[in-house]
Amino acid sequence: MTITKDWAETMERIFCPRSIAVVGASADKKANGYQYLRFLKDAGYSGPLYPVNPQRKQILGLPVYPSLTRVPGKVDYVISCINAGQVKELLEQCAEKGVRAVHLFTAKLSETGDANARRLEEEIGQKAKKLGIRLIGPNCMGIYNPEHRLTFNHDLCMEPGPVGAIVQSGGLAGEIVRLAALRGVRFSKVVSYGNAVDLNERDFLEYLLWDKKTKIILMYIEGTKDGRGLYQALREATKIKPVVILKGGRSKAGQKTVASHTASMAGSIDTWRVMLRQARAIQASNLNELLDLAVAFYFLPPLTGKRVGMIGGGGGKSVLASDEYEEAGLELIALPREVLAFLEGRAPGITGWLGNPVDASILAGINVKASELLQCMAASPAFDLLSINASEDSLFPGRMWTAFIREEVRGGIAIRRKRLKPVVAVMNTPELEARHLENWRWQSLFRLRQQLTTAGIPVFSSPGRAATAINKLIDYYRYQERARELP
Amino acid sequence: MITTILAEAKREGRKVLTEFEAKEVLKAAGIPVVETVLASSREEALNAARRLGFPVVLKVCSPEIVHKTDVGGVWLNLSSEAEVEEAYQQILTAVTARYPRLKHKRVTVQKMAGEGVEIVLGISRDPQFGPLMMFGLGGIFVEVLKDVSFRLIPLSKDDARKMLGEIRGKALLDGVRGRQPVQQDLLVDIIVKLAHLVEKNPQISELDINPLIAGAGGAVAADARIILE
Repeated sequence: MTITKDWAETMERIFCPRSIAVVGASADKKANGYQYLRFLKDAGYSGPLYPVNPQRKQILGLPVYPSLTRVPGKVDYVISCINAGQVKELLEQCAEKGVRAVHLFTAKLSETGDANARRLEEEIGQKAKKLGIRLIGPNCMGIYNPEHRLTFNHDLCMEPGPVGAIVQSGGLAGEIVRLAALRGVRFSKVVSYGNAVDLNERDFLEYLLWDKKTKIILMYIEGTKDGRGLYQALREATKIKPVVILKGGRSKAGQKTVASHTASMAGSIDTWRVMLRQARAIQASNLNELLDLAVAFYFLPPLTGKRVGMIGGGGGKSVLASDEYEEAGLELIALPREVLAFLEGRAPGITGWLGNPVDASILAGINVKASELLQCMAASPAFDLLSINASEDSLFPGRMWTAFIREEVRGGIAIRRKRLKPVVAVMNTPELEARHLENWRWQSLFRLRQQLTTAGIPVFSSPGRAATAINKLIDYYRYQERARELP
Repeated sequence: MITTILAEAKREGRKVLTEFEAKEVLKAAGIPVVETVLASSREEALNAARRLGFPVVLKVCSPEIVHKTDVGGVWLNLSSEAEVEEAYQQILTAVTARYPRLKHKRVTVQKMAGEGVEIVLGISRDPQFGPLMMFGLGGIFVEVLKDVSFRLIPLSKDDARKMLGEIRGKALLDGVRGRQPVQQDLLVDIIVKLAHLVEKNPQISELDINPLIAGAGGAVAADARIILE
C-alpha cells in the first residue's frame, strides 16, 4: 500500500484527536452520550471536549453547544451518540465545520437485518464519502488509546504498551483489553469498528502496521466485505509484525452450483482458515488462546528454537506437562552435559534419576536449590527456553510449601532480569471464588503469579496453553526470519 | 493458443471445454499432459493408436457430452488394433443412441498413462477470497478421505511446496513400499503454472486435473476439465 500524507494525517486525527465533540451528549447517566464524556474526563483526556446537545447548558461541568457548527474551536473528531436518522444531517455539519473523522456509536443500522436500516447505512456511507469524511462504525465503541488518554470504558488500564487491537465487536474490545491487562499486557491503540461502512479491518491493519507504537497486532473478525484486500494486507503485515487473529462465526459462503470436483471439495472447507494460514496470521481458536498469544508475544523475544528445559511439579504433573509440550511441537531435550556435571558434583549418581523435566521434589532431597539449577540451565546453550512449572504438591504446610515454590519463581526472575534465557511460567491458578482468596495457599500462589508478571515473565494457566502459544510464536518468528531474507 | 480456445468456446456459447481443448490449454500453459490425438474416423483412430503405441485409451469427444463415462464413451487399456476398432464402434453406437443429432462424432486417442501416484489438482472460486487452488491425492483418497489441501491464488512456490507437505498421504509422494518417490519439484512447478494460468485468464472459473499421474520419471495430466464463467 502507498501511504499518503493525507491518509496518515486523517488516521492520526482518528487515533490521536486534538479535540473531540460528543454529539448527542446527555445528562442521563444511563445514556452513552453521558458515559463517553465521563470516560474521557476521568481518563484525563487533555484536549478540548465539546458536548453537543440543543437542550442542555452544562454536562459534567462542561459547557454544552446547541449544534456542532456552534462549537467555538476546531474539532478533530466527533463521537456520534445520536439516532441513526439524524446522522446524515450531522455529516453536513461536520463538512461545514471541517471535521474529517466521525465515530458512529450510533447503531440500529444494517446489523438489524432490516432493509430500510441497511439502505440508510449505505446512504450514510455514500454521503460521508462525498463529503470527504471518514467513518468508524456504525455500531461500535470506537477508539482506545491509553497514551492519548482516549477510552471507551470506565475501567480499562490506562498504561500504554505495544499491543494494538482491531476488534469488530464492541463488547469484546473492552473485554480483551481488560483480560489481557490482568496478565500484564499493555496496549498502544485499540479500535472497535462494528459494521465498517467506511473504514474497515484492512484500513486499521494498515494503520497499525504503520504506527510506530504498535509492535503486535490482535484482531477479532466476524466477516469482511473485501476478502482479497484483507488477505493482501495481512500477507504484507505479517512480514513485519505478528498478527494474531480470532475469527468469529464459521463462514458459510453461499456456493453457486458447482460443476467441478474441486469446487465441490472447496464448498466443504473453511476458506478463512486457508486464507489466514497462507497470510501467515497466527490463528487463535478461542478468546483464551488469543490472550495467551498476546501474552507470549508481549513478553517473549523473537524465539526461533524449540528446545525447552523444564523444572517443577513432581511425578504426574511433569509427565503431563511434557506430553502437552511435545504434542504442541516443542522439544524437551535430555539434560546437557554441563547440567548433568553440575548435578553429579552435588549428588553423585543422581542423574540416573533426574531428567528433563526436572522434578523439583527430588531436588529438595539433595539440597540443590531450584534457583541454582535454573542458573545452570540458563547458562547452557543447549536450551532455547526455560519453563517453570510452578505447581508443587502441598506436602508441607504453610511457609515450607511457599518457600519451595518461591525458590523457582525467584530463580526465574533472576534469569529474566539478567536476560540470560527466555523464561515462561505455568501456574495452575484455578477457577477461584472470592472467598478462596482468603486461603493462604491461593493467596500466596496469586502473589507469586503477580511477581512473575511484574518481572516480565509470561504466565500461563496450563502447560498445554503455554506450549500452544509458544510453539505458534516460534513458528511465526521462524517465518519472519525467512521472509526477511527474501528479496 | 489459450486465448483462441477460450474465445471459440465463448463464441459458441459453451461453458465447458472438451477434454481435448482443456488439455490443449494446459499444454500451452506448460503443464505436461498425456499425448492426445483427435480422430474423426475409425481410420484416424487406428492411425493414432499405431503412432502412440499400445495400450491406448479411447474417449468420446464432444462439447455436448460432459460426463463421458456415463454414456459409455470411455474405453481404457486397449492393447491391439482389433480392440481399438471394437471400442470405436461401441462408442459410436452408444453415443448415437443417446444423442441422435450429434454434430461431431469424434474421439480422442491417448496413450495409457503409466504407473504412478494419482494426484488431483484443481481450481475453484470462493465468493469471498477469489480463486483457490486444490492439491491432493486422487482416486479413493479424494473421494473418501478428502485428503486435499487448499491455497488462495496468487500463491508462491513456498505455498505450493507447503501444499504437498500438508496432505495426510504425503508418504505416498515420498515413495512407500519400495516405490520410487515422485518428482516433487515438478508438482510444485505444475501448481505454480496452473495458478498463473487462471491469474492470466480470469474467465476460467473452475478447473480439474483428475488424475495427474506422477511417477519417478515425471508427471502427466491424464484427464482435465475446464469450466468457463
